[in-house]
Amino acid sequence: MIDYIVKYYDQILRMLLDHGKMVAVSIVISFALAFVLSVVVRRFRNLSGVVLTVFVGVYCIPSLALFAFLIPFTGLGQVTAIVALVLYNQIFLIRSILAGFNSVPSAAREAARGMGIGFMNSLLKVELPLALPAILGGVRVAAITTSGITTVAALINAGGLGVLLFDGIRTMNFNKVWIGVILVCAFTLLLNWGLSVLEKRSLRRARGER
Amino acid sequence: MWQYIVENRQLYITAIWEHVLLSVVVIVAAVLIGVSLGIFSAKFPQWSNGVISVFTFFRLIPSIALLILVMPLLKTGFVPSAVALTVLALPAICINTYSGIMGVDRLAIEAATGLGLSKKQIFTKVELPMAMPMIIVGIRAAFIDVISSATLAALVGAGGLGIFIFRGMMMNDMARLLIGGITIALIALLAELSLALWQRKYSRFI
Repeated sequence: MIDYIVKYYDQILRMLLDHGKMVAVSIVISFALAFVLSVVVRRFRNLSGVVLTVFVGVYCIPSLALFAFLIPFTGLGQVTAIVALVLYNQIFLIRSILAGFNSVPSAAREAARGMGIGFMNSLLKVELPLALPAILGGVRVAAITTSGITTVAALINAGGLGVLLFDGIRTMNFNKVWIGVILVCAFTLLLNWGLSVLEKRSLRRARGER
Repeated sequence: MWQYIVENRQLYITAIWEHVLLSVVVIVAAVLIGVSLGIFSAKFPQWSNGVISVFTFFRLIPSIALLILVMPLLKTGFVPSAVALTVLALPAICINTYSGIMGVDRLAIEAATGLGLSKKQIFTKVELPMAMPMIIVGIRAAFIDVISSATLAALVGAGGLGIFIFRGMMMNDMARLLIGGITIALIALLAELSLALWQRKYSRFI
């Protein structure tokens, strides 16, 4: 198995980078979209039920099926995967952004207003740090799910570590399969650890311990 | 598309049955094991750290990796997929059961003790109902995950509606693909709605 890695390390590295790129791009785009949607939902409270139900429905669609629905529109490859991933992440991110901003104690908000801090400043310097732990928790869950679904996206030519898994199964080359499984798990663990560190730091910051 | 369903009715119904059977078997097993483990770790705090850490680790493994991991041990088919998907569902249920029971209001338990309820009665009449919403949330998340991953289980020989999706992709047959996808989505939505209603019924207490 080790010789496989040594022999093909450049391809394995490329798959790893593809995987990481897809996860990163999806998370960034999902977050931007979720942020916009959360602002809209906060402004028009009645929409919250509709928006959340729609995205729960989207999440219920199995990943492969959603990829398949999108293929006629966006073709095979990474774009389809990223669109599907963005849609899947919405439910986690919108919920956690809303929960984060809801958990900001109104006392803090009023104190900021009383001190004369403007709207944007208050949003960035008061509410955001206090809401960040919950938001980062949601980002963490979204990133992990994204990584898992990206593995499946290898089936629609999107590249990533799933290629090792599926090619290995097809050619009965279990070395490949093992390497794929180990790398996928290692990637997810690393992602989880990194984002947990960020989450805990933001929690300490929100509590005022830093 | 409807024509396709009518023509291949038998295959379609078999696939639905396989898919639902796999999901239900897995969820029942996962609930039995997961809830027991959750209650166990809540009642014996010295074990809770170990159990929760192991499950938090397992939660991170993507479903496809789990399905593939059991292949060398159990070959392919229904049973290996069931085992893999149970391992997929367990962490969510167990962790949520633990959080649910730990999150029960201490005052309620004190009041119950004051009323003279025995420990067993406190558990069944106070702690468990109050922990139920959290437990059901865990079961909901796990169920959706299982139903979606049962689609992938078609790759390792478990049958089910995933077959429609894979064959549709291979043969470029949109009708087959859509049938598979929409049916699974409907099953998942049905499960999600029923569990949500069940959760609401239990949330009366809080």
